[in-house]
Amino acid sequence: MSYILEIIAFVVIPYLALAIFVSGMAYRVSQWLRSRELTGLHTVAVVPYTFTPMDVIKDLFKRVFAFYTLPKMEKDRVLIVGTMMFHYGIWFSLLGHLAMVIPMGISLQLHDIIALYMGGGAGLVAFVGLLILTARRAAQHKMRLISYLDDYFAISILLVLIVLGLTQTFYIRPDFMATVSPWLVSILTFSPEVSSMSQISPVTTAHILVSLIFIAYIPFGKMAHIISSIFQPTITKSSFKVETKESFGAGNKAPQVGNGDGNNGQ
Amino acid sequence: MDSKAEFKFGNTSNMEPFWAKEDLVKTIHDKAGIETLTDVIEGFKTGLKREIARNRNVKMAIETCVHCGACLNACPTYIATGDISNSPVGRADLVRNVIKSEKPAGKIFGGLAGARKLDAAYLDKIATYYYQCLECRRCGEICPFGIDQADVTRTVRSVLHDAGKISRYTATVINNAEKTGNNMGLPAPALKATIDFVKDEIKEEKGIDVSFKVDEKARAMFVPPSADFFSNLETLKGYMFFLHSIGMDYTFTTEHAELANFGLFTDTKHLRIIGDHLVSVAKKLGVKVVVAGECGHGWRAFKNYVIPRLKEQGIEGIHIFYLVEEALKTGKIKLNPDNNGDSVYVYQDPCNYARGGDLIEEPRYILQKVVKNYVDSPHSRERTWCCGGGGGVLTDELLPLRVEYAKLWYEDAASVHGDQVIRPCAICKAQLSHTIPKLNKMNSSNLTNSGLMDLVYKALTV
Repeated sequence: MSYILEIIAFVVIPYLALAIFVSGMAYRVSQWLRSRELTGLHTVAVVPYTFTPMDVIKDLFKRVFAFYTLPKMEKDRVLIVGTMMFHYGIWFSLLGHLAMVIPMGISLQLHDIIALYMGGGAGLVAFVGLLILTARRAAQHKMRLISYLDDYFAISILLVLIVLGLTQTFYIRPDFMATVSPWLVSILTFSPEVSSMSQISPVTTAHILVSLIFIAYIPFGKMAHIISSIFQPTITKSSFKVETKESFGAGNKAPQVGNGDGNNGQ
Repeated sequence: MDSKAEFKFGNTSNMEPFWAKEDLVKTIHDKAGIETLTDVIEGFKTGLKREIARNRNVKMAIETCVHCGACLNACPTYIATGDISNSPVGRADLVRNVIKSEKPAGKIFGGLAGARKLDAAYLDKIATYYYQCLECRRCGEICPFGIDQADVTRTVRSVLHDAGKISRYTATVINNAEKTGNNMGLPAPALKATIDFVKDEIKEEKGIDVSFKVDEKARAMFVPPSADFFSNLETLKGYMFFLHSIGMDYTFTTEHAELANFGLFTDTKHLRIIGDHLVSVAKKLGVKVVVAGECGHGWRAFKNYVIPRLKEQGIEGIHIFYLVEEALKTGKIKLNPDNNGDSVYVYQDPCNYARGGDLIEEPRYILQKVVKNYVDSPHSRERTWCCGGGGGVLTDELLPLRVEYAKLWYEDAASVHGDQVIRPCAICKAQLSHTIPKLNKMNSSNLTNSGLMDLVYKALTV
């Protein structure tokens, strides 16, 4: 790859993708925050008895990490298994990628073993999860009826991304820490340096470019769901608690129902 | 459309409600202070964009759905009909796709992205399917992102309302409420006569002269749904005998004898008008607290709109179940569950108590004290099925659809060998009274239904 192409692929495109991602998400969030009403109601909470901020936080964690709402009604086991495998696989893979920018204080050999077995394993779990979700969407008539370009594009790009990632991890086995890692650090510290990328394989280049396209695409479609829950008032605005104490008592004859202080709660 | 279209699994596009005629539309538009749109198509699109931009819960619903289809496993209207447009995601897509057609992606990719131009036929389709939603919020419970299609339905119906497309049933009820202060259109003398009749019945059955006031100053104002003055008299007896038993100084109001608020189903402007009227009557009567009777959606509107408005006036709002629970816990009332016999009572939560009302455990506490054999429905608490008449669907021309919706809770009750279903909600009671005879006939069964205060009445001892 010529130097110009390297600059385009590893400096221009990454910053362009990051700029689109950051400005796109900022725009979407600002639009969400601009709408302030709740269809005329004080609260629109969907989860009962969530009265305190702690109730809301607990619910949000259960929602994001346990997908606890999915088995609540009539169970769709394919959706539950596919979702759990895909998301946990992706999260562990992303954690693995972090090791390229955060010094772990471990030997390169150990790093390589962890990347191969844990990273590769997580990637495989994500891959199988995504295949399950894709098969569900393709095979069920009702799912095809609610699937559009956004859904197919998201699935396709993620499948390509994961396959390229797995190919590197299991077959190419490049020395990430000597090639991709210095470049990634240089990009994130805003001092771009592409020299370490001259020898990387086309598969790694493709993985990077597809991931950058994916990052740029996030604000435009369904992938914005990665942060939308935090802004969804049905989840994050606690339920309105009815004050009952003051309401008891004060009748036209004793004894009264109420706070027992004899003044009828008034 | 025929007055009773035939139900067809997989396609309910023929299940269209009767639409309000021009004069009725004008009356309620005047009340809401709006002009009826002349260009309905453009007006609908403009209104849709405005309302989505204004309400965050709706904006998030339209923009962040991932089309995972989880809601298809929760929605009673989809499960009962198999029509994708009669599902949460499918219903949202009907309008989402109109929005898409105006965005760059929709203009570039067209139908591939789901974009759909709005025309008169498509608007009719939107209206038809939006009036098949029960607004039960089961979708909001299962959605990982908390997307509540019920609030999208309410918003789209509100825009349809402004465009002059309102179901005749909900428009009539709203008009009644705004003209007479109650959905049934009952005049004050009729209300007073009913209350006196029930008072006499209590005297005859329990030997007690219950005390109450009507349109007088009191500490509390009691507001049941108006159906309780008309068809649920056993429930009314329960309220009156209980409130007397705890010595509550309370008044009925004939000016606003209605807890239900069909503005919740149809249009936020009417939700406010009806709710604000209740607040103004409470203020006029100088009460300290307003006590709500048995009504699911009425309670959601009351709790989430009226109580915050009452509080601005220094008035509290409460559900009668809190009072009953408290009275039981403090021993102020005595009950004899034997009075309710050996029947198996199945409790089925009204949607808007369980999903939006935070009223799940209180009625259960009461029920277990007033009957000997109480069981929960397998689909209970947040999982409860809608009665099939919620959300403004409780109209005769949609009865075939309502019967299909009703099969879900009916089978649930049958699976636990229930004799009587307890649903403390005016809409549930009306829907059950219409559908149980048909379902009993189909299943050669003998299921009955009742409210909760009906059972409190029977069990309450002097």
